[in-house]
Amino acid sequence: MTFRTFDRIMSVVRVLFLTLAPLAPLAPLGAQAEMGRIVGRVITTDGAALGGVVLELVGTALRTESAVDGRYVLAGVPAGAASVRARYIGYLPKLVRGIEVPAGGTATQDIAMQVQVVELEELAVTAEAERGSVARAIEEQRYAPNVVSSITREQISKSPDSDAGQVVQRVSGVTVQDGKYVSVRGLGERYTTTSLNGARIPSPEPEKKIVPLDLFPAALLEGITTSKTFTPDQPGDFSGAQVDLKTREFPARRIANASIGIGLTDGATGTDVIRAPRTGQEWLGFGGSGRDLPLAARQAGDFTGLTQAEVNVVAASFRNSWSARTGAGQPNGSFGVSLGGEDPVFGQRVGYVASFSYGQSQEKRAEEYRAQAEAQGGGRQTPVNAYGGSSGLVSVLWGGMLNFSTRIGAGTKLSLNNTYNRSADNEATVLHGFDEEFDTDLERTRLTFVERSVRSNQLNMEHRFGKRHFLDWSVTSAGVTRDEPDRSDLAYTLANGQPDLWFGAPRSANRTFSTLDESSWNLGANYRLLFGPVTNPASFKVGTAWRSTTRDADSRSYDIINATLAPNERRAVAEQIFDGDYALAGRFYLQPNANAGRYSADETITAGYGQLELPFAGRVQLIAGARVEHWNLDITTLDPFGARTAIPKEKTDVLPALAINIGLSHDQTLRLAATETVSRPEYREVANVQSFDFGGFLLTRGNENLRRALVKNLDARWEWYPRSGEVLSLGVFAKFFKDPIERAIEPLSGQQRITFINGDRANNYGVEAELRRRLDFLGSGGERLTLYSNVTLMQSEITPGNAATVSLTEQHRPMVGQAPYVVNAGLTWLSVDAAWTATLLYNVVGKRVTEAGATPLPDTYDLERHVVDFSLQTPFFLGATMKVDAKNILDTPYRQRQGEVMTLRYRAGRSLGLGFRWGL
Amino acid sequence: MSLLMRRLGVLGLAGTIAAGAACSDSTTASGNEPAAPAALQACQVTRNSVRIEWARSAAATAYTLERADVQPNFPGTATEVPDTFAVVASLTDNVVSYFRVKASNTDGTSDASSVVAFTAKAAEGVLQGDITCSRTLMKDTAYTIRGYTKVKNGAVLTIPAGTTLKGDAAVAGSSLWILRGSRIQANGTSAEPIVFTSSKAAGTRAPGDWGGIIIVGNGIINRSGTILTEGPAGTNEQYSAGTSNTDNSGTLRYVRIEFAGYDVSGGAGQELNSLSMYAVGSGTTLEYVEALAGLDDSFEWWGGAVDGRYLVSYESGDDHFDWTEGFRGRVQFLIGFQSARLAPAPGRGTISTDPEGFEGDGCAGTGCASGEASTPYSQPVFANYTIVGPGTATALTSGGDNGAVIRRGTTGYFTGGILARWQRSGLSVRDTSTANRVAADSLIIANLMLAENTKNYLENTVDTVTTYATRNHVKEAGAATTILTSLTPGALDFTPIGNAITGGNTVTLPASKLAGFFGGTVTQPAYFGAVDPAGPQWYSGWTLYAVN
Repeated sequence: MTFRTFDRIMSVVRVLFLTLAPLAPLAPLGAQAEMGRIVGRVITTDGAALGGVVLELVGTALRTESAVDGRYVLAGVPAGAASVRARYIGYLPKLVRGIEVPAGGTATQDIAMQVQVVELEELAVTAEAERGSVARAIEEQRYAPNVVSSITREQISKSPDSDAGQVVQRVSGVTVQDGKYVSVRGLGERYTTTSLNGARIPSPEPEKKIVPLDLFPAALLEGITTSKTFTPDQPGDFSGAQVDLKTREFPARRIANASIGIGLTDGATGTDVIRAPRTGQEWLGFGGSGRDLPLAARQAGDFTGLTQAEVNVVAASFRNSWSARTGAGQPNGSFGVSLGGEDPVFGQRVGYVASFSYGQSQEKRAEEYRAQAEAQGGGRQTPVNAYGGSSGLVSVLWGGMLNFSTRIGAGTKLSLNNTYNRSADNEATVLHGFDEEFDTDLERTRLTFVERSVRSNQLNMEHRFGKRHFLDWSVTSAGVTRDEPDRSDLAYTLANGQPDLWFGAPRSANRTFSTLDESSWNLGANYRLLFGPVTNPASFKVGTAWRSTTRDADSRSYDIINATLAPNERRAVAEQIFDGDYALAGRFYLQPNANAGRYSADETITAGYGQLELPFAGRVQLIAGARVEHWNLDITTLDPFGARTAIPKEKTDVLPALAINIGLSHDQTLRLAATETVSRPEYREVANVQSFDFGGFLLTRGNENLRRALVKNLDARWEWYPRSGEVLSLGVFAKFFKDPIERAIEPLSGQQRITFINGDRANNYGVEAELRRRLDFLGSGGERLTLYSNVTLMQSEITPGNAATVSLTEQHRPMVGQAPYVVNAGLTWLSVDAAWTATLLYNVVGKRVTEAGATPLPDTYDLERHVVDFSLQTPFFLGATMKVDAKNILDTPYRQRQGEVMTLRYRAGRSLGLGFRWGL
Repeated sequence: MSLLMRRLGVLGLAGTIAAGAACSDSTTASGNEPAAPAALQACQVTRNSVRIEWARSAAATAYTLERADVQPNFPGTATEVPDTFAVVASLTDNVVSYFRVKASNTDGTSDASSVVAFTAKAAEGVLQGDITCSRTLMKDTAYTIRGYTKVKNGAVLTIPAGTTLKGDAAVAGSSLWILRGSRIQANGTSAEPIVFTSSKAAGTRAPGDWGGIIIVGNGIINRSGTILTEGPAGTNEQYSAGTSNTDNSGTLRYVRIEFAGYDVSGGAGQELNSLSMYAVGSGTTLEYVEALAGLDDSFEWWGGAVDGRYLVSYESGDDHFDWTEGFRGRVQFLIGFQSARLAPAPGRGTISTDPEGFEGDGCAGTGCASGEASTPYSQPVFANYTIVGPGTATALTSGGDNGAVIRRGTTGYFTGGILARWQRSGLSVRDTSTANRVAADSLIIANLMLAENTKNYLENTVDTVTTYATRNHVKEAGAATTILTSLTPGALDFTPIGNAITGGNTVTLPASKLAGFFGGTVTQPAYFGAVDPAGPQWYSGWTLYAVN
């Protein structure tokens, strides 16, 4: 399909949509003879009426919802035996089989819904409950108007995953980079958006859009839904996927859970690991005031007008911590508690979930190797600036959640969701290598401490008016922070493999202080109207959304450079050199870089949409609509002289979407979708300030001329649900990018600089398959094994253009981050009494471009890496459950290669965990 | 939704009507009149005359030039002009005039163009932004170079002898750029040199106060692809893909560049050089140029083939003479002198920790198709140089303090030189690829006098005795003052004495490398160093030695 053909189709969609919208209530709905109807009431197991329950006639697109009094009518049901499936959030879905519908008559069927108790999913895993939960995910996938993949609490608790980043890896077509950044279908992470209970989470990463999912402990999650097709009720910068994390829903009766875990990492626990000296409340993820930017440095600004004596005071003001320490690696540990229930407060039943979890882990990057590639002619490369060594990382992750919800009458549900998560990484890296520029062997030490936090407070209300009107609205306040207080970089020359002299050149004694603070408000309201016959209604949805985000980013760095120290004075340990005496004596130069990473951003997105879902002849569902988004971005940057530059951006886009779902038979569905979406640049990518990446020795600067990219998406997918809890699906997709945003290298005289450009265009094609099947065909015992697997094969090609500013070796190559294949597979075994479960998981991502090579060097690739995890869950004493997790069993090294040169390699180490959980 | 869409549609329509109305308000009746002239610029012709020029407007048959003394007084004096330029003469000194143009035809008259201002002979002048048409400066005007100032579009900037231009130390990156196709004609004299200096008062100046001079020519470099100069994005320029090593970027004669070298990367260590020569061709004239107290290199060449002579570098912030990326010019009579490491202006850049006398590279970085063996090789000729380091008067830097670091595959021919008082070493032929050039006789370092260096050769300099001492007549002297008259700042006298008077031409370089130099050849006199013991002291009179 060419771009032009696509455009033609989409313009037809626009016209069709505008024409059809007013006519929709008149659309033919195909009533025929030999039909009957099913009526009844949906109640809770307590006998209360339950409104809003979706009831589906299995094998058709016929669906309705129960009214506030719980009553429902399914009309136009073919006479004979029928099955009805009832679903409502917070309740186990229910399938009622064998309802006899008389021709021209009425069958009555009441349905009782069972509250989905957290404990049920977590602890006493019965085969029934397991099927129910997994089936629910598959159901969600099946009945969604768009292509979605879900993973449920059930699946999460069975996997060894401890945070959302690991969980989401199990979703079809998902690639997780660095254990936290998600990309879907091998598209770069910029094409994936993340939301928490439907509201966008701002990113704490300066150059990225995505939220590091390892911030969210798996125990707090109800589930993760990944939508791969845009519908107008979703944000328009959806271009690859939208990942929605759902926090745990309120349970119906009081529960209490506690868990505790310990673990060890191969090569880290108990062995010598380097680490940065500690200060502050690091065990809580707070770096402490000792890491604050010293007052003298803050007051010095960009040093303009300072006397040498004043500069000396700044040089002496830094925390005197430079060298890594060595100590025994600690074991990993974690604990968590959760409480939930539904109790009357002044006569009003209020559901609540409160949970808290805390974890600390030790990692080690052993056999770490880094190098840069240099051209040798004839297409060959040789490594330069090759460094080897190791890193030690101690991570703390804790988070809590406090959710309340209540029903007011039968038609209104009010919920208040609050989450706060905090993580901190204390990392030390020591590398030895040869520096080509200075022609000397160096030891480089970096000590860093990164704290991140994510907060979200959301008030959400859902109303039903009568049987046909649904309104929901929400107000969300969210905030993220990312602080990297007081990073130190130190370089010593080496003599006989031992540190000899403090090197004294630029970037051999450097302190960097970075903060990023972002807050946002999300307001959203949606209104849905059901119209047409009660038996087979069409729906029309309109909504509006407003999101305002403010970010302040500040990064200051200070370089201490040798002025007058003689070699014998430089031979001391760093803490002696930098204890303040030399600094106050004016024996250093101090070079500030006060404003290079400093910018602020204000972004407002105002959106409105309309979406029509029309059933045709009971088997075909048409979803058409469009979203209008107005984007306004104001970036303000400060140049090194403190002068402000304002970069305004504004754009309005109309994004149409058309989807057709065809029920091929009672258990097969075909989906077709064509949509248009946008991809907007990140703030740092637009902020035209330069900052120095000390690790990579590269400058990074934003490009104030970046435009948003436009993406046209085509999806087709065939799904087969042979049995409850089983699925087989095959899909194809294509994406056409105009002005795709890519990271590129600008060669400068004597240096290189990373920048961001709009490529000319890119095309992306893929095939994906998903399978979940019980292995009962293997014979006795096979029914206790379930195999699931998803495989995505992709091909992409980008035409980068921009030859005037960047010189790329490959003019046609895959998009950055695009893997040719992603394979996830798992095998689950359940004992006869359902008390024991075992899960084996496998994941591999094909090699993908991490950085486009500047001529004549080839592109840099992350190589494929095979990962196998295993977990076993068994009963234990006194109602406790024991879980054994083995992660990264193969310990395949992480490898990055540029042509013949390995540019990065390390092993993360195997880890083994043991956990216990009690429930009341 | 349908309602929303319709509303949006109505809004869109209303917007169109409103825009249409706005348009019709601002134009005269018929709608077929020409568009307002674009690209208006004022180009100085003489001291008191200016040429106002603009782009042709489609369908225009005539233009009206309006001139006003203050902007609100337009139209002021209106003159009908048949062509797309007009010369306005007899302008009064120090009085500003504003100009704008309208285009007309039988259907009507266009809106006015943008406005340009011109001041005839101001007492003070500011050079800033783009200089897109040729102009001649006045020696009795005090000029300030404010921000990134670029001569482009083929314009020629002519600077008479005796003119002083000050880089504005209060504005980021104040620097003068001569872009490809444009030229600078800076013809000073020994008595009246042209001075580029800091806007700060003497005594308070420091390296990095302003940027420096950047010339981008159309010469050839050995890196392929798009390569940009130093400087922040948007202000830096491509200098790769030049086509002619005989290109002409103008003349620098009797010119001083003082206290330049501002860090253009906001603290990331990218300082400008006093004189940056990117792909500058041999048509350019470069003689009697001094770089004083810059923060980065004094002179740096990236590719190109410009010849030069009589160059002086005092108290450099980094290297005195630096070449890379295929530089193939010849340079004779050079002085480099260092006695201290001057502290940079606070917040304006980083002190170098590998300052050298010479730093020569073959090719490094992206675009070097064959790495250090990329062609054309760097192949300069340096003859009669006197490069004196600070000795042990300053702390040994982390990576520098060599008289000459020759590395990364450069070739070249060196004769008649003195490298004295270098704390790490006199000569370092650093890496294997460069040592291979020595073996292949495409890198010849001959007729060199090494004096008072802590070491004469760095350890990794291969085969020093055979290659240099024996074969290439590299000699070792004692104290620097046994071969040079006076190395006291303020009383500098580089006249060779003692062993430096003869023997500087023992090894003869290939004649083909020396021919066609300033109308003659690169000579091989008997003395070592930059100055003929018989005189004249070509560096005295027009140069300045100052540290603040």
